[in-house]
Amino acid sequence: MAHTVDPTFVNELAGYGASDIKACFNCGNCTAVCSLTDRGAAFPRKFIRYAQLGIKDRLAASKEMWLCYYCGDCSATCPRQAEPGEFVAAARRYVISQYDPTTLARRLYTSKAFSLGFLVVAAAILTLIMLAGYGSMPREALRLDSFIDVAYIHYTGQTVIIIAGLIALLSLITMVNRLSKALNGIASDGGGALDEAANRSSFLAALKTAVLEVAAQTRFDKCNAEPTPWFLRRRFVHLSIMWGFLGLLAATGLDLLFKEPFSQVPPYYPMRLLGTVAGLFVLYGASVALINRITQPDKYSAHSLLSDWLFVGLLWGVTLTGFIVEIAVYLPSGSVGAYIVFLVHVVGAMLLVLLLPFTKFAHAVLRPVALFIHEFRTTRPGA
Amino acid sequence: MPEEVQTNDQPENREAKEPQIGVYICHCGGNISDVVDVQTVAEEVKKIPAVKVARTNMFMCSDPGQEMILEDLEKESLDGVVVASCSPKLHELTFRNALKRGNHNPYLYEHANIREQVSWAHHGDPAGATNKAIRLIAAAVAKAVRLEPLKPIRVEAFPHAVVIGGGVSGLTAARKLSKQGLGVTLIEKSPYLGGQTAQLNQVYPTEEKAEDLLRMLVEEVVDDSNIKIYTGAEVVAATGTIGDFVVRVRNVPGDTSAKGIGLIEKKVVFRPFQGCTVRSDRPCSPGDELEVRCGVVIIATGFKHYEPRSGEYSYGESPRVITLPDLIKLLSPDGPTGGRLEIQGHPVRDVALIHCVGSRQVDGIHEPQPDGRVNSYCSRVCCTATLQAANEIKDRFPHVNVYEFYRDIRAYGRGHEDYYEKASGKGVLFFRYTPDSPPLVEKTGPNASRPLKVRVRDTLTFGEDLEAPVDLVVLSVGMMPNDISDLVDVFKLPVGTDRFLQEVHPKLRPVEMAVNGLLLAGTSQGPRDITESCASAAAAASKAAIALGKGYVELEPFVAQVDPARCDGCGLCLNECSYEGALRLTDIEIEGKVERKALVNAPLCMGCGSCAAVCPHRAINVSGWTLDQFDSMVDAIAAQ
Repeated sequence: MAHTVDPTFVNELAGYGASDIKACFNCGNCTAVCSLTDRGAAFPRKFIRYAQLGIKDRLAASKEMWLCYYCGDCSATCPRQAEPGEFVAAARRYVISQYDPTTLARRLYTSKAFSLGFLVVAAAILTLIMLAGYGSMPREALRLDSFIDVAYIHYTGQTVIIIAGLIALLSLITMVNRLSKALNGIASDGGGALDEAANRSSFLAALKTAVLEVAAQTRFDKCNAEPTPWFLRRRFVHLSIMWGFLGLLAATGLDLLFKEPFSQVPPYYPMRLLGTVAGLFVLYGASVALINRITQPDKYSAHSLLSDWLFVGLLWGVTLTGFIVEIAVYLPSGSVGAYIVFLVHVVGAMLLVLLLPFTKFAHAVLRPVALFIHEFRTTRPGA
Repeated sequence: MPEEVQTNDQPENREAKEPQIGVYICHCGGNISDVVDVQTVAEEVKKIPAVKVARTNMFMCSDPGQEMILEDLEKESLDGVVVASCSPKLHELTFRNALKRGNHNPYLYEHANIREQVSWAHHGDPAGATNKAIRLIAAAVAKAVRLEPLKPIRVEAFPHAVVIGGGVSGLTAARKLSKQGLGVTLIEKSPYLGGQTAQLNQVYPTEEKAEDLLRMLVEEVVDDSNIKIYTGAEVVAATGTIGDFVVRVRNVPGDTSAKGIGLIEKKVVFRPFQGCTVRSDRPCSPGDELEVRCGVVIIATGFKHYEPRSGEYSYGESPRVITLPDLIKLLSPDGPTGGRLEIQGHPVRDVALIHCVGSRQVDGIHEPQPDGRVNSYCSRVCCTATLQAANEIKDRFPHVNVYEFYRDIRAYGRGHEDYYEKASGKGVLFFRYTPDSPPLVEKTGPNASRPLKVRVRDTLTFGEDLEAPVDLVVLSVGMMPNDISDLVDVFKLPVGTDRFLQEVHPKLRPVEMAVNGLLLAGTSQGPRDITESCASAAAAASKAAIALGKGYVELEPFVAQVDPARCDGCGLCLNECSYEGALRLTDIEIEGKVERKALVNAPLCMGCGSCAAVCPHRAINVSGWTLDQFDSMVDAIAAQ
């Protein structure tokens, strides 16, 4: 079936940060310079063309946006200053917002005023809820259980997680549906029915590839122009954030299951230790990311949207406040400052979870699945 | 063997002593010597009695090679020179000019081709090739001893030029010719000056208004007392040769409206899409004829646009499918909508521009023209002109979506690429098709957002089928030469397989035609833009000035010559002659008796030799290529 072109689509995409892809004349420099481009693929040239023509289903079905690690080589060598790297980021923002059933993602990406407003209102509501459970601020020690009723934190947190989780799930389902449909369209002439065994083996192979890629992110190392010390490499920074975040998630979950809320435990208590180590990784990763964004805007953040800053900033803030609270807990006395930091930490953490389906963060959920689907589709015999 | 050749046929037509010939054999840097044993050739040739010296050289055409010949001519007092090297097409003139430089008669020279005819043709057989080279040189020597010192034919040059065609090329040529001090007669068939340039609004790459450009040119031409302008006039006959043509001009019959305009308006008036009207110097009663005498004729008859077939891209089936000239009119403030981009009374929102319509056609894919041939050439101007139109639409109507469907963007000239750059920057979308799957223009259903859609298999989108909904389709039509079959007959103009007029050599003689004194300007020769047309017109004017500047023209002396003693006036030769006025029978008085003899008009003779072939008495010969010379060459080749 012929695709109908829609030249106005580039204007819509411009709202997501694709500054000037009209200038692209498909020379292929970006493909040549990209160290992640597989043989025979035309990345990112190919899906820039889809965007120029406004063929949205082809754009959304592109694997490329999930593969890019934003080294910026393509933008640096583009002869027409079409900023292909920024286009990839914009395309990803666009598809994230397309899968989000609430349209919040689109608003967060395309409107600064809305982003700020949303943040302030959500933070205010969460703070008010927390304050509703306010008890007292004992000074002899940091007694968080008397500061805010644990039930308020517990149930609000769970609600936020459920809301964010549901929306993320809906996004995921939408993505899987559309991706399958679009890929069916592309490979419609591929082989016939497959026997179950072949299907299962390619399913497992694809799963393995996707999981390995997500867990180790080895393709990161293929990117050129990475800083030399290993601890400054973006792969390490990104892995720090990812595994650190997962570690924190695990520590929090285990805490909920096995530990009395707000009970005092020594620093070497396994869950506390896991949380501390994981938190250090997140704090390190988020700090390096923020420093890079601030000190080298050309390379890291020239075209970043407020929404992107929001995610990294919140992550960093939540981790930092977490550590302040952790230290304060072991101090002999409590202070108003420490209680307020705790409040900020709790509200921030909830905001972070709440924003999951609507920001850059959504890729954490969408990317592994998208990679798996593409992998499964392309490795399947006959496809 | 070669030496025997020399013994059985003694030359008798030159001085009493045996003419002394110098033979020079070229290695051609190995091109010849890798196959032909040039040393053996020289030794064998040296044995021919008439050969005084036989030498070899790495490159005879080099300065040292030529100097060697000149030195020998002095020292050895040679009577003739033979160079055995490449094709005479390449270097015959080089060596003749060398002789001329040394104050020797350039026609005492003979060329033997031992590269194309020997080393390149027989590289598998060195011995045979060497033998063939010896024989060819022996034949050349045999001819050389019989060569006469000829003189070029000198024709008085009439310092006037006729320019046919009043477009931008003809106007430019007329202006430049006048500046060279030549009188000019400008002949234009239509009532208007300006040609196809008058159809344009603005011209690339300068973006100046076509009207201003034409006005400037026409005013200059009109104000020039050296230039006579005949509009509404055409050439019906011509005689003569370079330096002295007589061109017959007459009013275009039945063109009464034009006559009035031409006579009444003293001032140059520009009429959009038509041209400039001027005071015409032509005779004014219909059917009148006059004769113009001139030294050269410049053909600047221009082009017409390819007219798409009915149904080609839905042309003729939908009023929304138009040509690029139509679009230019539509965008012009003087156009049918006053410059608004409207079709069928509604503003255009999406426009498709399709390149290469009527150009770069492929046999078997495209329908041929009535003459059975397709337009396989590139029309060169359409890419940039289309990009220019796309830019204009985007500038003036930014919300109109513009799609270009092309095979290759050939924005080759200075500043042309900028149009592409700007167009893509403004969001014009480009689609690339292959000749075997051109875009399809289709009408859409009643519920569609646009009345037409263009479907294409786009190679830029990895061969995907795409469709663009549009309300206007513009076909970038190519160029075809104007129908000038009458002029082709009158002047015997050489026409290329693409139907455009053909130059002698695209690089060495780019504005000359094979008929001496006929020059080319502008698009009569092939597709080109205004810049290039003006350049070729200026080149033609310069060539005219070179030809006529000395006051006389020198022609090669290889023309027919009658030996009155042998001619019996039978007139067989006259029937064979294809060149009007070259040969006639006349009564001449010989020793008191009046006899009828054939007489050659040298400037008109092309030296084809048809007359010599039919003469039963060997009374007629082509100078430099006489039957005696041929006989001796054949004898030399056949000798054992």
